[in-house]
Amino acid sequence: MSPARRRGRRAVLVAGRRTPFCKAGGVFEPLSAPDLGRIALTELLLRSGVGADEIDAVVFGCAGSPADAANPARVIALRSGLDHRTPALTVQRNCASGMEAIVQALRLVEGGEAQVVACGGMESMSNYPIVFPRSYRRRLGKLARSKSVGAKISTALSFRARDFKPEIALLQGLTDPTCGLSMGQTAEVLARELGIGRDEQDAHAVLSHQRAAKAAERLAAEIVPVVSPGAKTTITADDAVRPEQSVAQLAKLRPVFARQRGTVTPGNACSVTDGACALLVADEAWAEKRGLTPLARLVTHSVAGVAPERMGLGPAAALPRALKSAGWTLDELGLVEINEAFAVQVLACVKVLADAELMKTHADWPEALGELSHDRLNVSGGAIALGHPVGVSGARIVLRLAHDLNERGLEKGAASLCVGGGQGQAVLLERPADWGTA
Amino acid sequence: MSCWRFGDTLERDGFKAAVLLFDREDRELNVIDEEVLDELETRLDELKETKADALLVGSGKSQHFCAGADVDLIASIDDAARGAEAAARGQAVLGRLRRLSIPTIAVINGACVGGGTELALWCWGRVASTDDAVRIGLPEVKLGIVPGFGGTQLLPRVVGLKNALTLASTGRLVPARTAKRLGLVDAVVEEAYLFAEAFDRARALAKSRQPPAVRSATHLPGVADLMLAVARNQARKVAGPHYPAPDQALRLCRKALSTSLKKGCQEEARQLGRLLVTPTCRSLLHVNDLQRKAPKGTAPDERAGVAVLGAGVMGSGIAGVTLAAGHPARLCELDPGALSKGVNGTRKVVDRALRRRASKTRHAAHDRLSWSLGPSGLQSVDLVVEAIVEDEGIKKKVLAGLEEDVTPDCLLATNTSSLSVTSLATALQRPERFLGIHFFNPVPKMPLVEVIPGPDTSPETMERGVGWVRALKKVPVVVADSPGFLVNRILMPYLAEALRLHGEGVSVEDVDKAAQHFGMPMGPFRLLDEVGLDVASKVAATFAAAFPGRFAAAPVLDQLVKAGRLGKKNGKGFYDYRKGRRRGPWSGLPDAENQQEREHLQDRLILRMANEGLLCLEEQVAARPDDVDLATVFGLGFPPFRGGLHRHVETVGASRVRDRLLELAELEGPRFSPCTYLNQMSESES
Repeated sequence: MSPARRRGRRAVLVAGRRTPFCKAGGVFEPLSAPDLGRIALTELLLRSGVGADEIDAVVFGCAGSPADAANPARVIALRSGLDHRTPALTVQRNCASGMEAIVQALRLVEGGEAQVVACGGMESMSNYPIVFPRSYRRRLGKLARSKSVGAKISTALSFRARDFKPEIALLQGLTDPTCGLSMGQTAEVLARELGIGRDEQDAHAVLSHQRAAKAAERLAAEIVPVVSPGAKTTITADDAVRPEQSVAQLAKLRPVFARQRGTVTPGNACSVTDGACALLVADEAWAEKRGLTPLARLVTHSVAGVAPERMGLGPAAALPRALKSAGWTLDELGLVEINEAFAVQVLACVKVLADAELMKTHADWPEALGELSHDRLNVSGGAIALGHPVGVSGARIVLRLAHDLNERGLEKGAASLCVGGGQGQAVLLERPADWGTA
Repeated sequence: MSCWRFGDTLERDGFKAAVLLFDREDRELNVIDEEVLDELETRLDELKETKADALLVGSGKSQHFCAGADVDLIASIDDAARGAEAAARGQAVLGRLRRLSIPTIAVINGACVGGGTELALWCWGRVASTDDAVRIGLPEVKLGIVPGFGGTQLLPRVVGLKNALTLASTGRLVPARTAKRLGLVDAVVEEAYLFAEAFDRARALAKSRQPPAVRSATHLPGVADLMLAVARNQARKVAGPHYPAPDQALRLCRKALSTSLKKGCQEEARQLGRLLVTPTCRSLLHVNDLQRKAPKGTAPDERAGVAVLGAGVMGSGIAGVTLAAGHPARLCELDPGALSKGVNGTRKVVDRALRRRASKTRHAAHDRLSWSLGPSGLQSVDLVVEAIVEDEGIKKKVLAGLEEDVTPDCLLATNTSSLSVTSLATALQRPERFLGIHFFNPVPKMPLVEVIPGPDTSPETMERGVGWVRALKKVPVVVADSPGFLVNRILMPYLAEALRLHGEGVSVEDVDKAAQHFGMPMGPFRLLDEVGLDVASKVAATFAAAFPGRFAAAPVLDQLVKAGRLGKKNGKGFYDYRKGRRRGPWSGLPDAENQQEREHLQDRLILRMANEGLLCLEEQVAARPDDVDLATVFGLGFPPFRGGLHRHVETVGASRVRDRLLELAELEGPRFSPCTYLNQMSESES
């Protein structure tokens, strides 16, 4: 038993709300990451009935902090009417930033530093900056330092066309600087090495869309409507879901990361969307005293490193470590969420988890965990259908998992993500049968 | 009592600047009255002993400099000579700030209005803070008078004739940056550096030993006269024939260039005294008084929020003014398309209301806005205003549902204009916290709000309701629950009479011109176009049902609506509109062969309205005559220079109004029969 539990401090997920996830460059384009985060956090507070003055700390994930909000968590805390005495932290663990925020909240609560923590993630993939090359910056600096008119003119004339060639920060961010592979290329590595074919990937993608479409009505419990400036109507649902899509249609798409013989296409990879998600993590005793029925208990968590070129296997490394710390087995889990960066990467994790040899090689773990069937994996669809606003997905899947456990009357679940750069993170949730409905 | 106090003297390199702070102990705002002047004189005498090298005149209040002369004091002067005397006294005392042998700098940290601006103008120099609260100007003309503490004489000497003419004749209050551009202040710095800046400026001026003067080519006599002529023309166009003060202010500014300061000030004081006793000024002072003395109620908590149900034009207007006033607002609406339109409409209202404020102020207001499909998240609001469809059944259902969603001490209000508050209250289990709060369209522009108690509304609820209206920077008037409440009730006979005139063959333009000539901001037909003919037709039907025999339904309206003419909103009403601009009367209207004298038209329109207003007093829809004045000036644009509907009857003479109504009743029918209240008024008059 951990020291925290001995002291009786246990973290619970009290409530959560998120914006719809909408395609980048689309209807949310006018909203920055803090704009989205502000809406999610404000609605979380108003709808849960927990006052802004009850929050002890704020932790949010954001993979691409905008230039005008270096610490976006602090910005949305103040913009949502939280007191300036409430501290706020932005965390960045790439694709798991939203989950990292929950882990930080859990630690603050278990460690007794805070009773109520607002956490989650925000991301505007639409608003990733366009960057000028370094040569442009240098010449601009030189221009500013030039004193005489002559020097100014000669510096101005030294600019070359290539200095103005913009670099798209989003694409740069999706490339691992250490192994030199883009995220899509790491997915191709898994497909190649573990022998996961195109058909299998496309089938998984179709399943994700179908499940997300079917769950849409239930998702209304977590989604808050967003009115984007100038928009004709209120956005109430995720807009990247394609329920009609078939395997045959997907088969027509061309691979983008290995054009000739690759298997990863835009159809079986996550789409790029904007969104935000805000959760309330609190001390279980506080929630009880406050008369709030939690959605789930945050049992434990883990984070593990894997090879950067096989970053998609992160969950295979994180899950066994989390399960061990809780004393649980994979079979006990009613539901599992593995964030769908790529269909192949989810399938690879399932394959590795079931194979002792692969576990040793890729997850540095001595044994297999067992079979993880599709009927308890990503049951409400995943990022392939909803998109993956990088810093938000970790918070979204934890919230979804909690709701799914509630709706199905299941007790135990795990949520995990692979992380660009080669990491995996996992959180275990528990919902004791004797709790009322949240 | 203390009005002025010395702050710590600033000293550097042997240069000493005394700091004199205006800080009335007895009032929230610094207003100038006799006591303030007397005490300033004493303090300036004391200054000699301190051997200061300069004097910095600031304010002890936070973000407020001076609100000008005490309006109650101005209103109490009813004699021209006394008015001139009071002005001369102010000029003499404030003038010492200029005549001191050391530099004087006004340190402006907030609103600096009227006499406050004159105080600052008498100083050798002026510095202002970058704060949003800074507003500088001479709005005296808006009260029907000219500045009296030397404003018209100093302004051209400080900012030059051109800027002086604009500032003095419009009464415009300008923010710090504009003031700097116009030359009204010498420097604009952040509040923390105000006194440091003032100190340095004083030191620079100390060498010259006299206040700096402006010279400009526009001050050559020929040029100046030309500019004056242009400005007078312009002012006449803006102010109209009913307001003499702007013209007088312009002439005084021109005079400043050709006479000594002393002589000019004497003339200014004389003109002030003369204008002060005109009926226009008395009426404007009356209106100012009504506005200031409207009930205050219990102010809501600074961070208390309002939820608005229904995101139509009214709903988003109410949410917008709530945000602009600094409170959170939550807009709830069932239809996603309407919600989006409403939220974006609210954002526009906020941007327009705060367009002159710092962008961070605007952003903060946007961040206080939240929204929801259907009522949700209402636990933290202090007031819910429903502005949903005018359907009694639906409203009752929604109100009953609300009781579950809000905290026990949250106020519930209806913005209905046609339904009975009493009847809606029956839907509630706790009607004591329910009331009517009736805004007018367009909400951001219309200053008046009617507050209506139901039969069980508690006094505390009324107090809080009135407090909320105040907090939203609107003028509350408490009226009884009666069809049309007060404003629409008074407006109805005016519009009905206009339609009748139209039916008799009088042209819509003649009717509108007669009303405008009386001083109404627009004539009845333009107003009907603004309101929307479909809406007006429905309201007319409601009134016809509520007051059987007194108001007839208006078949003209129905015909126009059937012909697809809905008013300004679709560009077709009694007038044609193109791109929102009025072109001419619709050619499809019947030929107007009936020509009537303007005065006859005015009597039929205005006196019928006056009779209705007095009937409202008789029936106690409004409790006091002042309420009728307030409601008519701020609710339906009754000309402020006439002081309101009741005041107008008093000015004309109740018996004269009664006699004229009797004549009209004879000629036109019993709808003009004077009400009992008017008969009593005219009896007590004689």
